[in-house]
Amino acid sequence: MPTVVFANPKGGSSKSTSCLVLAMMLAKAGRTVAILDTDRNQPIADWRTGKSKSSIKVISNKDVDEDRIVRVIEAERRRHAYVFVDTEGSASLLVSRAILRADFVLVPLQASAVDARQASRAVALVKREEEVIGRTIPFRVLLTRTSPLIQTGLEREIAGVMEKAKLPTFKNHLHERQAFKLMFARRLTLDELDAKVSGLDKAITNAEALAKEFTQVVNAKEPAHA
Amino acid sequence: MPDEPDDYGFTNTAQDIEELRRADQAAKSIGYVSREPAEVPPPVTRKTLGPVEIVTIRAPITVSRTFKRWCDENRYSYWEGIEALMQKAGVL
Repeated sequence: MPTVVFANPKGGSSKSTSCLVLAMMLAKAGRTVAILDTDRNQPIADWRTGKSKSSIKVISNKDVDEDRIVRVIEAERRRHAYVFVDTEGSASLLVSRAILRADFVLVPLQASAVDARQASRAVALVKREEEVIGRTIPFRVLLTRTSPLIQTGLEREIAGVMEKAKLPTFKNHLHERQAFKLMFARRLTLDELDAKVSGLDKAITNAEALAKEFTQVVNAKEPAHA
Repeated sequence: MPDEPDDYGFTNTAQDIEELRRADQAAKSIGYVSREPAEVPPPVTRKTLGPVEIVTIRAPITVSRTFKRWCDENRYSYWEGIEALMQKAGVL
């Protein structure tokens, strides 16, 4: 079953948000999902302490360190349809070891020059590890916190750079939406949030479209869930 | 040499360990580093000394350096090292 590593050495690139959003959509579709929260800030482990009825299993960094990451991934992939590894915003060996067991690496990227440079470090790591293990590790860049209404000049520029560098990119973006922040603050899934939250329906539509593309890309044999 | 099975029942084969070593090496070559906290040695608890006096010793450098190294290795302060040696010699 697919192991997906969310990697970008730059903090604040929406690794945890994209990880949790996709996990929620998969769980909603009846898939079993485990998230290994290796970020020392523990945003997803903190989310799990809330009242959400979601079936997502979260393993905190108390049980996952550099020494154990490979073994925990191997154990969880036997029990869950998807294993997600949310990594912290740093260039650490834990990220490298997680990628070693990854079936897919998702590189979230905000449309900024700093994020793009750091994302290229994540891609460089994937390439190095491919040489080590002698197989291809599929990866794709996900543009995050983009405006749902207009594409800014910088977003266009970054998208152009990705295209020029032939970096595979998701067609869907993860938009900037209040609901994506509130799900962490309230420790609930998008579907469990108060319906009055501004733009909630649009956030869910965005999440579903992204999850559909994600499942198609990660596992071509598996029909899109949404 | 494979590891012992861990809590998850997994044993790393020699091939796994070698793969991990090469992956670490590849990651380090592009600036990835270990973020695990370094192990902190336990604090040394000092005995209550009572009245003290200062002793200055002129000793051959080979003896003083060997003595200091031995104290460090055994986590003795210098007076504790002298005490331990005297106990061993049956003086104390």
